[in-house]
Amino acid sequence: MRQTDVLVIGAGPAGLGAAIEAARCGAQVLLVDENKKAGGQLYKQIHKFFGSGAHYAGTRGFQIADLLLEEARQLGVETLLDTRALGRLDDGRTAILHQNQVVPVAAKKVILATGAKENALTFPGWTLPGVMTAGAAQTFSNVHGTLVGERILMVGSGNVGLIVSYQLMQAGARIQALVEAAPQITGYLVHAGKIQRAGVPVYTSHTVIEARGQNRVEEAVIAQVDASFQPIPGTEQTLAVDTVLLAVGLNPRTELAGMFQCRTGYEGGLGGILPLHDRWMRASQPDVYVCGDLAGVEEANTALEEGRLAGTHAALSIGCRHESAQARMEELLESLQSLRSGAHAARRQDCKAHIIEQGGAFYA
Amino acid sequence: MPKNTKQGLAVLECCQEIPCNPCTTVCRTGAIVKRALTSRPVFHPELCVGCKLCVAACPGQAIFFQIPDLGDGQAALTFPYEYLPLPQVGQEVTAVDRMGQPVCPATVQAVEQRPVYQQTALVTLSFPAEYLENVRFMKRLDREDC
Repeated sequence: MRQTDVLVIGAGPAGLGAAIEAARCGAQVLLVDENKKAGGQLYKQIHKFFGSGAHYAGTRGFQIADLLLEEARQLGVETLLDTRALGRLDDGRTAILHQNQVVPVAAKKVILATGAKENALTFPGWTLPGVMTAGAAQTFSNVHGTLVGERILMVGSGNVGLIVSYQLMQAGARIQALVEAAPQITGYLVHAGKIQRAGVPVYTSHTVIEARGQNRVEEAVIAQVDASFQPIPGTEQTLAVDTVLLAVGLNPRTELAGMFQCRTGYEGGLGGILPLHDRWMRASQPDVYVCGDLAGVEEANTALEEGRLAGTHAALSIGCRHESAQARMEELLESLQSLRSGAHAARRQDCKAHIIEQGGAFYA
Repeated sequence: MPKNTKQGLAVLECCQEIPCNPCTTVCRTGAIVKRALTSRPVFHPELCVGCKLCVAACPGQAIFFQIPDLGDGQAALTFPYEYLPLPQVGQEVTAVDRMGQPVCPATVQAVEQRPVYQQTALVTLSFPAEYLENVRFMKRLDREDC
């Protein structure tokens, strides 16, 4: 058995932010991640990030991961990789699977930063080899150096679909088309501009209706959709592609939060069902914090700030003291407000306010 | 004729309120400013010295650098290029518009790869000045072309 002040589950941007700030305040921190490498999705991001200078804007994602890992190391965060958090034991401890052994961890505070998983889309042929999520293709390409296909249909024009399209083109693939069921591009237009200048046709109000092939995808059929997203007969086009990638949103990975009995709510603008939390990222259970995509699917920079907030608050709440911690938390709240301002983030901002309103009621 | 017709100006095509500000932090003369993190950038052309740092720094690749008049009926455009193979100086390529549609033939004037650009190359094309407002990129080179 192990004991620690703060246990952080998930070493993506949110978990790293939480671990760093809790350690900075003087807490003993144990950070676990099921992957062999820390950094979460940051390691797959080879493009320059948005945000402000304070969020490493203009720096490529994998380089941000290196900076955060080094900071965590210097602050004395203990990190266990290839280590899966299995769940909560009846006595409140957390069971982790480390080097083939189940180890109970007694922590004063647990910070869940388990991220999100990709949504799927079903259509005839969707089980054919060659149909996969955009994130899977990105992992193959940017982690394992393997291109999943040469001629690709991308489904979904959110930032994931746009960015992964760009990255796969950099890796040598052709994006034959990108389809988006909504009447407009849903990600940032500047990301769309990159692939449009490179000649990728973007079809809004279109979706994929079928993938065909003998043993794997050989072609895909797309069609225009009406206002209720139903395909319009007669508008079908057949594209010669070997791969169909699905970038149709993400939803929070709430399994562990469920085991910790965190109360949840539904917010379509944040990915679906997610644990309610207050402005300090405390879940309905006072010893459990949630942050990052688990607490609402947003972006790496908001995940990092939420993690920093959770880590600071968790450390202070167990008696750690750091002279600038209080001012730092106010800054983080302002920073999150700033990241969520602007017309493009209006829906996320509203959804987040609703979650915090409900989560705050547990501590009123 | 305004001075910038010959020495060039940054062109900002940042069209949405998104949380991003590297253009303002790399600009050393204050030619690009933002009121808030998510407001759109405001450009002060009289302060632009033509360093092109913003062209490489913009994560959205939404900043270009134009020289409207090279003196021989040609104009120049500089844009970020993150594909391989890189074009060669002097190479004849096809200039394309914002939607990737061919506009006109163009000649590669420069391919700059400075450390401060962080692995983003800046490619400069020259082409007939009448296409100044259309040209934004070049037709990508196939790997077989290198």
